[in-house]
Amino acid sequence: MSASTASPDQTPDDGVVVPRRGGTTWRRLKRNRLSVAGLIVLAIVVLLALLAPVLPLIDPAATNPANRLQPIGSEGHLLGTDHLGRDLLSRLIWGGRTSLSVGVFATLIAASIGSLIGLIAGFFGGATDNSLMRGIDVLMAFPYLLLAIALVAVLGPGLVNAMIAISIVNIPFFARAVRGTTVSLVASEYVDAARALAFSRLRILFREVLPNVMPTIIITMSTTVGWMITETAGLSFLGLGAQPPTSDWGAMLGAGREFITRAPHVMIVPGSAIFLVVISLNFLGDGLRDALDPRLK
Amino acid sequence: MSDVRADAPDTTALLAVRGLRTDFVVEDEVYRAVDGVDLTIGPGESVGLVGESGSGKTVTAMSILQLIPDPPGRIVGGSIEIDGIDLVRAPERVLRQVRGGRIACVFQDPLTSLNPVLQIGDQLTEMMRAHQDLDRRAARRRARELLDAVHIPQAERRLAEYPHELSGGMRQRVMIAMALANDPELLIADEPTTALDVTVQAEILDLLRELRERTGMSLLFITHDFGVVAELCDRVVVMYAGKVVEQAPVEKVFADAAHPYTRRLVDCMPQLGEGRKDLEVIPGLPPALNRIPDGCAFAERCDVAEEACRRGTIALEGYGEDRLVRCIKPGARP
Amino acid sequence: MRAYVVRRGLQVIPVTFGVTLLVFAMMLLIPGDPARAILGSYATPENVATLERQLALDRPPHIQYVTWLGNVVTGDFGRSYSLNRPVLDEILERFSATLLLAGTALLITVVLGLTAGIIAAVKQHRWQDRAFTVGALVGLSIPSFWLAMIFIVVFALGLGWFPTSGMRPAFGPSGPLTVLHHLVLPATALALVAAGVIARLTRSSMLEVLRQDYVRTATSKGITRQSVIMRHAFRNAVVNVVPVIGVQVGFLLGGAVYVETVFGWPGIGRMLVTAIGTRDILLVQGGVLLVAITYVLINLAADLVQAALDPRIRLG
Repeated sequence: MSASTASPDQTPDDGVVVPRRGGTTWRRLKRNRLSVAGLIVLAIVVLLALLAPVLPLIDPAATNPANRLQPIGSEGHLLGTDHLGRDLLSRLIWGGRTSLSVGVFATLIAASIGSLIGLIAGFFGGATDNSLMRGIDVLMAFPYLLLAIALVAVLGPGLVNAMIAISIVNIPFFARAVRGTTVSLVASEYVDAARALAFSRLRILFREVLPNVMPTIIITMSTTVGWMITETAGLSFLGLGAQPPTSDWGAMLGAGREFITRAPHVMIVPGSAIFLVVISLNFLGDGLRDALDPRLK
Repeated sequence: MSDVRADAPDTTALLAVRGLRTDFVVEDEVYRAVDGVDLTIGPGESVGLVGESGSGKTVTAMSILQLIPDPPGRIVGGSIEIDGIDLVRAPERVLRQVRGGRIACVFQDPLTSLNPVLQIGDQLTEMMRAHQDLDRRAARRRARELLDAVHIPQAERRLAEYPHELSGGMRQRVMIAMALANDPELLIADEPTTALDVTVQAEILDLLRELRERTGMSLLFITHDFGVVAELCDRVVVMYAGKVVEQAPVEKVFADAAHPYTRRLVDCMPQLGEGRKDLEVIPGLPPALNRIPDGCAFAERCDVAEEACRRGTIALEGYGEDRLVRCIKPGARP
Repeated sequence: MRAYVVRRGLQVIPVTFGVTLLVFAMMLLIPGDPARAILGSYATPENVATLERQLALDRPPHIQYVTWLGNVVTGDFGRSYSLNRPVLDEILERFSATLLLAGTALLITVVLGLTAGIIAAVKQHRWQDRAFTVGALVGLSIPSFWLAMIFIVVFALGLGWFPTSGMRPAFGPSGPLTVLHHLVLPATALALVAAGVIARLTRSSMLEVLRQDYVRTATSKGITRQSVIMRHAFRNAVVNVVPVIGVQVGFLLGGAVYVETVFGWPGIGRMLVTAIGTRDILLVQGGVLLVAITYVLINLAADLVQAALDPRIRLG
């Protein structure tokens, strides 16, 4: 396609023997300090979200109008309070449960459906491939967020609908990546061998091809999960996602927007959380990719 | 380091490489690709630099114009002088005048060596206009003459074509035309025929010989193929594991190679047209460049090696009147 | 080139067809009676009946589609009940505001992304590389709706450099400086994510290209380092970047929804959010269709630019 297809020797000489990088993916990943930092941050955030019910937190829904819009670091409220006097720390952790699980679920849905489409298209080829991928093209023809908004317009606002919309919008990324890998696998020898042994096509597809497509699926998941968390939060921010009394980080941000002049911390707190999680995911994803493909380092 | 002044500092030399050392550092491991190489090229002389893959011949040649990517490569010692200018220490501006001006290069693979998105004509004129005060039209005219000179038919039309529209041999002719654009004093040709079809190889070699006769430029020809050396070169320098192991006039090497490695190379010389019968005839592999053993690096593969070959440092010493060899048993036969 | 233009141009047809089909399907999928949804809850039964006839809602879906498509092609997107004006008028007006915003953001994206990517690649392993690489990652990790608010807090409320909201039309009575003054914050907030993506891609493309043989050839010619980097390396690297710039336009058009909401920018994104709230389905449909078709054409343009830059695509 382009300049990058011309791939001469990586080594500048006719043969300075450069060894393959030694060690496992994990060891290489450990060497990337930013990735390790990302992993630690994510572990802490996930742990906090999981432990929310047992942590000594104030009821996230408990209002206290007399104590509203308290700043960060105020007595009894480490991160302050919102416009109804609710504890921001507690809301942040409980909201994180919602945001993270919605993001992860959206990723799983998009990954399953998208990968299945990609597998089938790549494996069976021909007219199946053509019609499936034309459908994917049409999904890709919409600007990313716009399609999600259109879907919410049809399904109606709500957290589950927002999650479904975001999953659908992300299906093409999985379908395309998985199809590409599948096509190259189908052309490879061991699938031929499996054919020669007269295994059924479905058995070849799920027993031979699927395991080998997993790395592609995992890499695509690692690159899209951050977007999905951001975009579901975004829909909630616009009032199209989580509806009261449910609250995720996006809805907290949307509420904080009203008090941007008097109490900016109400929107800074949940926004920082989204940013922190997404950038940690990206650092980790980068490290993973570098570890799997050191050439790009 | 170099132990002997290869050809005692020669004021008539066009280019003098002395004690060149080039390292590659990958993952904190140092690979000594070139380890104290001395090399001189006289005006109008044609020198063949011969060795297997990984012998350091290409790194030596690329070090001359500082074309080694840094990192990972780095020249860590020695000098490369042309007219008293040391290219290793020369400022970028001076280096630029030499690159493409006094010394030009032709590389191994003409497809990847030409810029795929620029027209042939633009790549040629760029070379000229970097060194000569030419307007667009004059440069274009000269570009066409150059294509004529390397026997490319329909030169005018070719100027507007892109590399992928030409055949492999044609592309290498373009590379050669480009190298000649500023009438260089020295042409460095790094295995210019390796990537080409056998029939085309002969044509390119003929072209190089013809151009050398016509222009009188010097030639440093890097190859692993002694057959080509025989056709094109006056003198041959053989490298092994980053060091020069033998240096001699071409006819003497063929008649009576002093170093066992050279002898083996000459023995397995493919007849031109037979393609790469290749050097794998010598059993074993060269040592890893980050773990070069004591003594002679070739000892492991040598058919006349003895215990003494694996100890100390073996110097490059005079052999006969006009030869140098790095071997304690020069001329030995099994 | 002509053959390529025709080939690539023909691909637009099925995609556009699919887009119209999907946008039309929105109407079918919406729960309840479409005519009532279109006219709002205060419509009289007579009006509903008339509209059902006009839109062929009493006929099978494929007839409905053809009727709808015929209307759309002739510029009849229906009438917005909540605004009581033709949808086309409203979406064109709103779209020009979005184009001003997204266009400016695109400019920032391209300039910032390419520059950062080139510098990072050329200075690989040095501090500039680390700074730009981390910077790009920060850029593409910040949610733009949050960044927009941070900008307001810092640059509008805090430092008072820019207005907190509002827009001046590009060709209106206020001078270009006023227009720009209102544009800086929203356009930058919108651009940073895309700029991060472009910077990373430019960096990796440049690194790939910088180790190609022809870059060594260029150096061996004795031209300046700058010429080697721009004329030889970048000229090749940008071939890969251009189609992704086209894709990023999609992120800018989508992200505009957030930024318009935060900055009170009267664009199509804010209109869509409002229209979803009032269940004004024709407005949503028209807006989505217009933006999607624009995006299809922009991707076409990006691919044609790519072909113009790379003879192997153009002539192959």
